[in-house]
Order: sequence, then C-alpha cells, then structure tokens
Amino acid sequence: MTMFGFLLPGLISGSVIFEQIFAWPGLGLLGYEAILARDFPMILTLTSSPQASRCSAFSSPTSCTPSSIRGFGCNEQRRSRSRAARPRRNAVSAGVALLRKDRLAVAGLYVLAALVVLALVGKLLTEWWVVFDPTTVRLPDKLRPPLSTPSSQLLSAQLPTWGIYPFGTDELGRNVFARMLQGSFISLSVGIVAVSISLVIGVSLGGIAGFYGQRNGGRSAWTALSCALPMSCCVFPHFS
Amino acid sequence: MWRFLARTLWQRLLLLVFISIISHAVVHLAPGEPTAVDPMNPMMKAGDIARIRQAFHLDDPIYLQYFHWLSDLLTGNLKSFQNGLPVLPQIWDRFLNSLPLFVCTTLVVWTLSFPTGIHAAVKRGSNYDRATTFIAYALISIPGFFLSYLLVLGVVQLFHLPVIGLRTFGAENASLSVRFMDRIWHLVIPSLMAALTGIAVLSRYVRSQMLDVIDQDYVRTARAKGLDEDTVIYGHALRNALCRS
Repeated sequence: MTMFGFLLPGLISGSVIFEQIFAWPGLGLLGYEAILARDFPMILTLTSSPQASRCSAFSSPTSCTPSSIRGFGCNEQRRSRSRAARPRRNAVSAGVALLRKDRLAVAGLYVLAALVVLALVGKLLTEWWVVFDPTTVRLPDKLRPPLSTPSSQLLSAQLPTWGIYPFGTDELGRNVFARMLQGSFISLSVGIVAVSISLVIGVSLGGIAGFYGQRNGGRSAWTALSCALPMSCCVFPHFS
Repeated sequence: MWRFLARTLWQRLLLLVFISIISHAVVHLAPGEPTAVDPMNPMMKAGDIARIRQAFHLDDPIYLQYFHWLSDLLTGNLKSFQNGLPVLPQIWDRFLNSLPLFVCTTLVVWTLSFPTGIHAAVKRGSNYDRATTFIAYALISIPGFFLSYLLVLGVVQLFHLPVIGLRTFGAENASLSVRFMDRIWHLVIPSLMAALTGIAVLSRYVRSQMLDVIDQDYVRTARAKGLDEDTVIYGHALRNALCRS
C-alpha cells in the first residue's frame, strides 16, 4: 500500500529526534553523530541503505504514487464544474468566497496572521529597538524556571525587562522569551519558503500528472516524469 | 511474472544509483568538510590536514570520489572517517538497535489508527469524530520533541518508567527473562512517542478513504442485501477503501 511506503521513511529517518531524546543508540543517532563529524562515507551509506528499503516499499510506482497526487486534480475538476453554473468572477474574489465558506480555514488564517505579527514584533523588539535582549549572558541565573525573578547578583544592565523571566532562562542564563521572539521570525520565514517551494512544485507536478495521466494509457513521458520525481523525493531521507 | 520482477528490480536499481549520485553531490558540495570539524585545534598543522585530505581522497575530483565510495562499498572495505572502522558492521549494529523501536512503533500505529479512523468515518459528524479530528490535528501540530519532554516529566515521576537508553546499566548478568523484560520496559515510552504522529496522520487518512467509499452504491447494496453492519463496513467498505490507495 502506498501509505506504508510514505510512512516508512518517516519512521526510519524521523527517529533521529526520538533517538536523541531517549538516548537510543540506533540508526538515527548514528546519522546525527556522522553528520556532526562530517563522516562522509557513513552519511552516504546511511542515506543509501534506507533508500534501498524504501525503494522496495513502493510496490508499483506507476499506479501508486501519481494516484495520490492526482486526487487533488480530481477534486479541482469537480469543484470547477459545480461553480460553472454561476456567473464568472475573477479568481481572487472567487478564492475569497471559497475561503469564507470554510470556517476552519478562516480560523487558520487568523492564527497565521497572529504568528506573522508576533514574528515581526519580535524582530522589531529584539533587533532594531532592543527591549528584550536575547544575547545577554547571565551566569548566576542559569536554567531558571518560567516566571522566576532574577537573583540579586546581577548587574543592573543584565536585569531582564519587566524584572522577570517569562519563559525562564537557558543554560547560559539568556532570556528564553527574548530568544523565542527573535527565533520566531527565522522559523516562520523558513516555513514559508519551504511551503511555497513544495506548493509550486507539488501543484505543477500534480496538475501535470492529473492532466496527462489518462492519455496513451498513462504511458506518456510526462506521466513517467511526474511519477519519478515525487518518488525520488520520497526516497530521500529528510532527518526531520 | 519473472519479467515484471526483473524490470521492477532494474528500475529500483537505476533509481538507487541516481539518488546516490545526487546525495553524494549534496554531501560533497555542501560547505564544511571532515578536516574543518575542529578548526581551532592547535595540534592540527597544515601538513596533517594535507595528509588527511590525501588519505580520504578529498583532493580528487568529485566523480572520482564517487567511484572510490562505490568501489569501497561494493568490496566491503568502506571505512568511516571518524574512527576508521568499517561502515557496514557499524550500521548493522545500530540497525539491530533501531529495529525493535521501528517494529513496535509500526505495530502501535497500524493497530490503533485503523479502528480510530474507521469509527470516525462511520460516525461522521459525531462528538467522537470531532474529538479525534481535534486530537489528530493537535498531535500533528505539536512538535514531537516538546510532547516527549512533557511526557518524560510526568512519566518518570509517576510510573518510574525508564526514558534513557536500551537497557538498565549493570543488568548484563541478570537472567534472560529479566533482560528481555528490561528491554521491553525501555521500549515503551520511545515507541509510543514515535507512534503518536503516525497514528494521527494514518487515522486521518483512513477516515478520508473510508468516507470516500462509504456513500458508494455497492455499500448501500450490501446493506440492502441484509448483511450485518460489521460485514458491510469491514468486508465491503474497508476493503475497497484500502484498494483505492
């Protein structure tokens, strides 16, 4: 089944985090150590050996992988047919109307907007107009719990804003709240770039597979390409 | 049949070679190389670095390095840069450690997510369906490491479950059954945490696949024939839901 093929890579290479947390001396930890040491032969052989198992997990590429991608195409067709009866509007207002109907999507949009605002405010407050300083090292205040107050040994320049550590401090006594404010912008921009890349490639590949899929009995070059590319992407270990 | 097998194997082999070339290029073209791991070390002289580079074939062109790696791998004497030990036995040892974790995780995922997803599809729109939807999306959204740390805090205090390592340190001379149970005891929390995301994803997948088939005409026909609900759901709907994917 396709789903097993999709889950298998996640279980093999996704175990890096869990093996790290639980100190489990398995493949994931070995790969992590090899990457830290730039151990090229180990990294390459490690990435190839799960690939072999994953390749065998895809039971039949031409029938499995594109069908799951093509699913999107089918839904799109159905939706456009039902909309054809109504008067034509431009794409943006149609998209907004479609979004308004989905309350969950609107809620998600609000959450995303809140995140973007938080990231921008965080960047503003930690880099340009420094209210929360994420870089101040306070060695007397290492690893404090959330909402704790600073100790009396600090200099006045080291005191955190509001005189409190909202999220505690890390192993060098830096304010975790300030560090999270600073990091949210980086994380969010990485996420947005990654999702836009996958959106562009995924939508175009899925569209190609859905459009050319049934022609010539599914034997055209486009079908082969759109099957081979996602498969080779799935086969790569992602170490998430 | 044999021709199909041979052709499939050939395609897989081609894909594997293709991907190994790409990953080789990615690893070698990315910044950072083995000699740059510890640049501040005063014991590393320029001559040492040159000798290491020569020993690891790092000065050769990249396609030659690929053939070095491939020939070493095929003859079985591929050595690690890190400790000079052969790579394949090291990977095999670690694989044997990872295998129980992997098997347990897969078993937990596939035994829990199917009943959850099927029940949610059959009772679509019910409180159970909404609750599992919410929990599934929460589990997908919350990072696994965060949830693991929270769980570690509670579990160690409440149940005295081990959360570090494969086995209890110093219990090597215990009897076989004790060591076996010790291994399983250590497996509980890591496999459960690794399974949570899988359960969330797969149960949503099973639910959507079941929803697709459950309104089909042949399911209604099966009900009209007077079959009991279990046969309709598991014998007709679930089988077709699995075939579609």
